[in-house]
Amino acid sequence: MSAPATGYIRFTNANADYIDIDLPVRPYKSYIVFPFDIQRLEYGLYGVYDNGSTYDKRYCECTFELTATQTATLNDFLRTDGTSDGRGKELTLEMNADSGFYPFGPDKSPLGPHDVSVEVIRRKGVGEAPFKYFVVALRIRKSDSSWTAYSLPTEVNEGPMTIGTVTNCRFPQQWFSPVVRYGYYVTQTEGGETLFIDRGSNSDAWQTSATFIMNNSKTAAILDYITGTARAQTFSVIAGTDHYMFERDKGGNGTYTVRLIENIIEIEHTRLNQFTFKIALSWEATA
Amino acid sequence: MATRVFGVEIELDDHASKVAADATLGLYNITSALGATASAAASSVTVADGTIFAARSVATIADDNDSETIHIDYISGDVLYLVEVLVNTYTQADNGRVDANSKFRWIQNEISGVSNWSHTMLSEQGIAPFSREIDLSSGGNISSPGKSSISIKNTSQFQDSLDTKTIFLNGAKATIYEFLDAVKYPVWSGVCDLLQWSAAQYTIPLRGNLNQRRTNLGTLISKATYPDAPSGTSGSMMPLTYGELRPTKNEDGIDTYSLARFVHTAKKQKAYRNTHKRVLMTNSDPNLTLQLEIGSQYFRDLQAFPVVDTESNGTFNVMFGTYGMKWTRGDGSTATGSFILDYFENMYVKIVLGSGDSAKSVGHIKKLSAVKVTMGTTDNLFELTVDDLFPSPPTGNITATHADQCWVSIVEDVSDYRCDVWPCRNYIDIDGDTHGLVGSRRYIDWIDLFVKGNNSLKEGYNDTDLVVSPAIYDRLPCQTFDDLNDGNNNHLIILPRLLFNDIDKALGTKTLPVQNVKLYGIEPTLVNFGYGGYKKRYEGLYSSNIGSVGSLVFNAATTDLATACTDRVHTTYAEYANEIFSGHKSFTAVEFQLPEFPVDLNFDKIHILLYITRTQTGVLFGVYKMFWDRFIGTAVESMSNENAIILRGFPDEYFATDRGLRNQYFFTETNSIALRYGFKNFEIAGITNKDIYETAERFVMLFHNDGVSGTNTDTIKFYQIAVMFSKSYSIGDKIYSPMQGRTTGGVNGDSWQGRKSPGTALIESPLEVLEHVCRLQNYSDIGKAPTLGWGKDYSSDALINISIGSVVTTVTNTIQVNTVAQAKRFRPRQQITISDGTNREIGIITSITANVLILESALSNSYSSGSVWADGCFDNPELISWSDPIKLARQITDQNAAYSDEMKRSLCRDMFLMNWVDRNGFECVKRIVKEEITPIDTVTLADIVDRESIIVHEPDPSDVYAEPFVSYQFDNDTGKPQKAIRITNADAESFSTSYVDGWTGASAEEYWDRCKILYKRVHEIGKPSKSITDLLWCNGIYADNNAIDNLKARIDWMYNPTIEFSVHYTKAYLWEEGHQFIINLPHQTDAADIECVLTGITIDPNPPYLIRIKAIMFKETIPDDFDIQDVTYLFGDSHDWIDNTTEYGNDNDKIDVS
Repeated sequence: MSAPATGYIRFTNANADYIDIDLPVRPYKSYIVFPFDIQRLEYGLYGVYDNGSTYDKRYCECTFELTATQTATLNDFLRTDGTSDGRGKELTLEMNADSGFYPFGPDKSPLGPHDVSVEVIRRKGVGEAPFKYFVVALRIRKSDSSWTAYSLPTEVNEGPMTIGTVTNCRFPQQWFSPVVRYGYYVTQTEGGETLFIDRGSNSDAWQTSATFIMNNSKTAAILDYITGTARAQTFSVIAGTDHYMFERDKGGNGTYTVRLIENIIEIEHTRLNQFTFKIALSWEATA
Repeated sequence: MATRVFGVEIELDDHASKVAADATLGLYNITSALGATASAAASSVTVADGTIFAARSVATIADDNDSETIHIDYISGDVLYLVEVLVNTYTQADNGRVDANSKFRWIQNEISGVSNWSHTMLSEQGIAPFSREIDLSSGGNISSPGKSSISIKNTSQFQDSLDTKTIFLNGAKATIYEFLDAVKYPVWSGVCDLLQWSAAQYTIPLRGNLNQRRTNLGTLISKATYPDAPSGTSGSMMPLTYGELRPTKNEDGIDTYSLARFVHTAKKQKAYRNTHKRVLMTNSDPNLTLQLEIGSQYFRDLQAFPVVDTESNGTFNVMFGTYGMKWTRGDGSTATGSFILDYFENMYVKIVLGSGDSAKSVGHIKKLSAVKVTMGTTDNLFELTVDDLFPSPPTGNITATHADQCWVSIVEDVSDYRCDVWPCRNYIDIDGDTHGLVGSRRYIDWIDLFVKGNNSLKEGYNDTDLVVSPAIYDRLPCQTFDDLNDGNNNHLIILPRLLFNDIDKALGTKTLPVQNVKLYGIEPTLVNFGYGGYKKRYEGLYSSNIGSVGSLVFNAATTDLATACTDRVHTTYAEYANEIFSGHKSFTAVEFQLPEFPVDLNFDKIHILLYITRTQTGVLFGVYKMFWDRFIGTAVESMSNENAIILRGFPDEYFATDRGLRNQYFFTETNSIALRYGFKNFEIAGITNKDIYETAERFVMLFHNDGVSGTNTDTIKFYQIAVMFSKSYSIGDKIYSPMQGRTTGGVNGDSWQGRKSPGTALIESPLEVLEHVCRLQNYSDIGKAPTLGWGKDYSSDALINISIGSVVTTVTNTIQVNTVAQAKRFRPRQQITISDGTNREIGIITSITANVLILESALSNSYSSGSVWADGCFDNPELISWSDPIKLARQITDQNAAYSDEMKRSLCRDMFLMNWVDRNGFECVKRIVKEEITPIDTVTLADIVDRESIIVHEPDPSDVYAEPFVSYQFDNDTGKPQKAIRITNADAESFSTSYVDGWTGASAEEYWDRCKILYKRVHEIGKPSKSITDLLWCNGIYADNNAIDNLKARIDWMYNPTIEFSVHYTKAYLWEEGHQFIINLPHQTDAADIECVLTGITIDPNPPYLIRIKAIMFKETIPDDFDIQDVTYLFGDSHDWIDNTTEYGNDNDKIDVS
């Protein structure tokens, strides 16, 4: 069976029946869901248990703009319950080598094949622009944990940051959003008096989050590092001058020991060679 | 500012085999090497680091050779002082150490100066709000357990660590601490409850440790503990007896019965049988034990033996075989000599066959003083000696052919009754008298005995009566019983000497001195007694010849007649010499009256027991006669002896000094022309019930001087005269008696930390009862079980709030108390009251140094005397002055009611007390009444966080009973109340005395008025539960007053609204159940001060650190012109707080203050 033509993706069922439809439009989103049990602790840091990469989940939410014919093809395939159809079945997703479609993140193969499930999550019907095209959004879930071998692209330097072992990463253009907790608490009574409980400086805590905009290679490298190496463990981040990653308290630059404190990373493929993703980190130490 | 952080400590139970510490889990061993050799019998142990241990905790001391459990009493530096001395010696050289229980210690975050606490375990908001609460909606109570919860991270698989280390957290003691900088204070304690966890979080719910101390004070009567208990009582509970239980009386006799139940704990009647090789004499050396070998099968299993001689001075011989027997030692050697056979200790001999004169003794049972055998010619004889003589002396001969031949059995005859296992104060009669239970002597009427009457209910009542069921008992003569005389006053034994054949068939007797004994002279002649020819010459002297009247001379060296005959002293007597001459004749006449009839006594017969002797000079002893006489009519002759010389019928124990006569004159039945012995010979025929008894105006005794020639002197010595009531009856499984119950000292004479010495006082005030129960609770978390077990004896580790001291001086914010020991009774953060009788104020302790209490703020006054005591202190002098006059009484016969928490709850409910455990674990007590002075704490709107959180709850209609009643005076046989006070017709227009049952007077009308208002509030008659209406501790003669006080308090309590609000942690973090404060709010209290008592507090140790308070508002403090409820009104006193009523047009109305 030949690969899908350029500009198409293919869903094939177990009976080798398949459909080819146009690639989804950008931007589309990929999600990495980690099997992390995260517990924020009273003193400000986090305890995280990682059940293992076997239990990582990835899925993609993408939108297709299809002609009526293609829409009929897709709908028939997903609606009809027959051995030659795809209703309620695990399917195989394949792309053309030139697809540029990274349904499960740029650190995973854009060719496939990937065992997936497909569900329609949204329809917009036929519309004005593009004229007479149907807009259909699918959620495509990777349904197993085995991956087709894929070599990450050669990294192309973008900036001064180091995340884990990935150097020369781009500074987040929207800067960091630190969250700082000083461990004293103020309560005002009806009489206007303000009353304090101070747990002391040992209860102070710092977190930060940032939305990174990076090229394919850096995004792939960082995701590969986080999902394959760092995961729930602490790792280092080197921030450049005046990054103030953890607000003023922890300095403009430095090497910080941090930990991922969210168990989902949302990656948006915005342009051909541009991805955005957001990560949230807790400050654990400064080197 | 100071840092304030919370932490939680969970204590394991591993001191004997400690788990491996793991700091990453926050698990720390509490262990220290010895600092010096700890020698056997030492009462203290020096360790390298004493600071890590806690007073009142359990630990293990061990070295390479030995180990043992120790209980740490207190700590001074590195010296641990122990509750009990060491058994073994432990040395540093052998790696001696002390291990206390390991602890999980989790803190919210690190604090400088605090080590061995992990800050990396607690989840965010991992210490949930912790609560303390008490439900006072129906009045007094014990606090509820309260709750909290701990959450820690489980991302490192905490549960696996527990499994690996075999740690079980359920029930483990948990304490929440507040760290103020590096100083920690306990703020809440509890135990771990049902555990649950997810992958992220391990959650340990906590509940208050109130129930951990629960124990059952009852002792089940089982075959194991009481092997001879009859089936009727086996499986039931030994009663717990408190206070003075005795009936109330009215002019008609006994009104209501309040009697202690004695349950049958042993009943056994078993005859000795000859058995081959039975050991009849034991010895510490088994080779010297003595056994009877019966070679001939013919003599085995015999249980009736012939008497072979005649009893003399209580001793006679019986034959247990004729041949084929020998006595051997344990080593098989043949024994020689005489031996007392201890096998027969506490056994009895019973005449089973007898003929002729011996027939009188058949069925009689007497206790054996000793059974002796003498080897040699009388190998086959038991020499029996009895404590009491038989009606006729046992007799027989060696061939068992005597005309009056007796046969006997040796029987083990056990029947006893107990009212408690705890030492009791005393037995009393229905008047509360104790009759001098001194040493081994006691009067024969020292106890009043009752059995359940044939009619179970008093006339006019029936079983369907919902409120009261007055009981009926039969008061019986009770000489049948005696105390075991072990000092515990709780154990009655049957005296088989008054049993006949059957262990359940007794002859009860009660003997009372007669009264008004004097010379007779009321009539001019003795015609009424059949001697009309004898005329009165002098008082007590009637003679037949006017020319020679004779004389009656009292010997002034003797005791006067009235005293001598009633003093119960066998050596005193009144002596009269009747002299007459030349063959003339005269009578000495003495009269007496029967004593006042004992209230409600049942009897079959009366006996006039006499101890009178006569000697003669020149005369023949003349006739003696006794008559009883009504106020008119012919006298009835009741006793006569032709030539009476000695008239004696008293038992030995009637007299204050034991006669040691084996009760010869009481039991031996002799009635000749000259002698009259034995109580049966003093029976007065015809007086068989109370009505007849009351008709007997007087008894007259006539002693005839049957003079011959010359001077004839009849000298009569009057020693004693008494009436004995007797009744034959069957003894059941329960008997009843007035009783003074448990003593403070208990089994081991405990002094309650030196406060109740010598410990023989009766426990009867509310505070005493409560502390007694608290001391019997289970303190296994900190201490060692008493030898008898929890609930059966006091715990040496009981935690009772006795924080009181004598004030020496005060300087600004310090109070110096008398001794360091007094200061040690206090703990930081206690609220104290200081008073010298003139000034009185309240403060908070921040720390204690030596004998000085340092307060949070300066005192307003100076003190150089008086007392200082902590909130909740059992020795609060104001509380004691309230409690001491109150006399409670109760007997608990139900296992479920004997749980410590149930006992405390019912007590607090009856007395409007509250009992709680403070943050340091000490039992506390307080009355739930308005404080005598204004509380120190005031809450205003300025203190409130979120005014919308203020909620006022009017009294819950389901807690308001417009026609309340209380039931009390419980019958310890049926468990039903015999009395009640009830308010009815609360919706009537005006008061009628018939609307209040069981309560009269102005206060009854006042409280009916209050109930009428309650009715107007709820417009229904609520149905209170028995847990409210049954005043279980209101029994005995003080029950009425206690019940009225309860009902008054309950009615007043039903007016109290409750309020809820939130304040910041710093405002109320020291408050506990019962804390009293003033609340003054612009809207809710109309800017008036209203006193409150805290019933619930929930403290959140997380931002925003709020404390939620729930409190009852004392309506007494609500001012008259404050109308917290729209429509209601009260009458008559400062308790009123309503603003609009003219209901009655008199002083009862509180007129229009609005």
